[in-house]
Amino acid sequence: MNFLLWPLLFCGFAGAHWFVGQYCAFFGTAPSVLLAATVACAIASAPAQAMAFGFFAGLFADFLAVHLFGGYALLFVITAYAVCFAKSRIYFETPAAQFWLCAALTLLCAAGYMAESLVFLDKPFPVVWRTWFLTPVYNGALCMAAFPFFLLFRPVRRITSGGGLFGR
Amino acid sequence: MDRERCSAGISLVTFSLVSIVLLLLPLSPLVGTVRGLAGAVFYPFLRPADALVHNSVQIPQNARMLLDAVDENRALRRRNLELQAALGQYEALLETARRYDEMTGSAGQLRWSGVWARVISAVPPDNYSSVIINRGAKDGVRIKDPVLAVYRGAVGLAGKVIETSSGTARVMLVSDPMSSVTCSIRDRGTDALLEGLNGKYLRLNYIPPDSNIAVGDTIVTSAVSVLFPAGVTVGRVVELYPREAFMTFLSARIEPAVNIGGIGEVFVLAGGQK
Repeated sequence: MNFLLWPLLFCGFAGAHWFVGQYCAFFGTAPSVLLAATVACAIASAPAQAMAFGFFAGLFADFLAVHLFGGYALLFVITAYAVCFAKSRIYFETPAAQFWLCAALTLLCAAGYMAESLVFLDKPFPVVWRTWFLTPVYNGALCMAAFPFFLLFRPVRRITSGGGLFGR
Repeated sequence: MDRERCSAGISLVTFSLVSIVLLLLPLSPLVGTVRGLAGAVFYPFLRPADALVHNSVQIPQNARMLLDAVDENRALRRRNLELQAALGQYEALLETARRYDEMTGSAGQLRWSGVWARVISAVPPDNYSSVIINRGAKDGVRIKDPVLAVYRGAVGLAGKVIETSSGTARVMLVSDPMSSVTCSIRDRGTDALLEGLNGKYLRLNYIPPDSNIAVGDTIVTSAVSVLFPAGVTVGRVVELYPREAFMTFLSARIEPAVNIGGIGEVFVLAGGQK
């Protein structure tokens, strides 16, 4: 069943990412649905699944961009791993925690993308100030909304176990 | 748990390595293949999705325009019906006004008193025989009253009333085969009998051979007529029939002074005035 649901979920979030970026830009900037979905996936799912989702989500984001093909994929994979690592120590399954986590990771991803561009293109991609202030808020809100979708894939035992990737 | 941790590590390393390779070799065949593969996967979705969204965005606007168009169509249809009805009334009024104008232009020729009436029934093929008018006994119309009509500014004899009701009357036209009117040839002082042929033309019978009648002569009602006032134009001679050897009189084809088949308004000489 999951083999059918994962592609569907990925296609849904990819379509939402494209649609939001294309038609729903607020104040000149648009949220990154795929980053929010990756964070939500990492909170709710197993690490391998979260990283695979992050990789393909990043690949789709790279496909929509022009430069740095693989840049978002690397960032999203690292993000998923970081969340999976952190959730064994911090409880992220409350909306507020998801919001702040995603907002913080959005800022880190923006900084990481600038670093990537600096490394691989020899110049940092400038990020407008609105991105620093608004995108984290958007992504945090989206992460709260995306989280319930990934609960569909979580085995019942994980709900009661409370354990993370690396145990307590 | 160890298995999960192991798979997480493998995933991290694998996906990171692939990403880094993609980043490091942006122009390599590998990256080109991946990009091409990603394009092959994603492009087919992007274009229809864009078309879908683009069209979907316009759905509310199109629906609103469609609803507005439906409302406008209904309003215009209603308005069209109203205008058609008004146009019909207007044309009827225009036609009536035109006829009244014709009559007004020849008012001097109407030296009789009577009532104007509108033809309310003149259905072919009986429209050369009789018509029904919208005046009746209560308007003073009586049987045998002469009926005149105006055509091209000239007054002409149309027929006589043969039947009346309270509000309507039936007029036998001069073109009815049963109709006969004593007429005279103007300026020649000769009387003859006008008969109907149930058609566009009339027949003038019993014309004395020495009357010197000619084509173009005007035929008017005779002073000896019992029903009709004298001097009313009836028609014009358009043809003289050959005289038969055994006959002692002439016959002629007469073109009526009025358009018998298309009479719209008539003037009924109330009380059968002469």
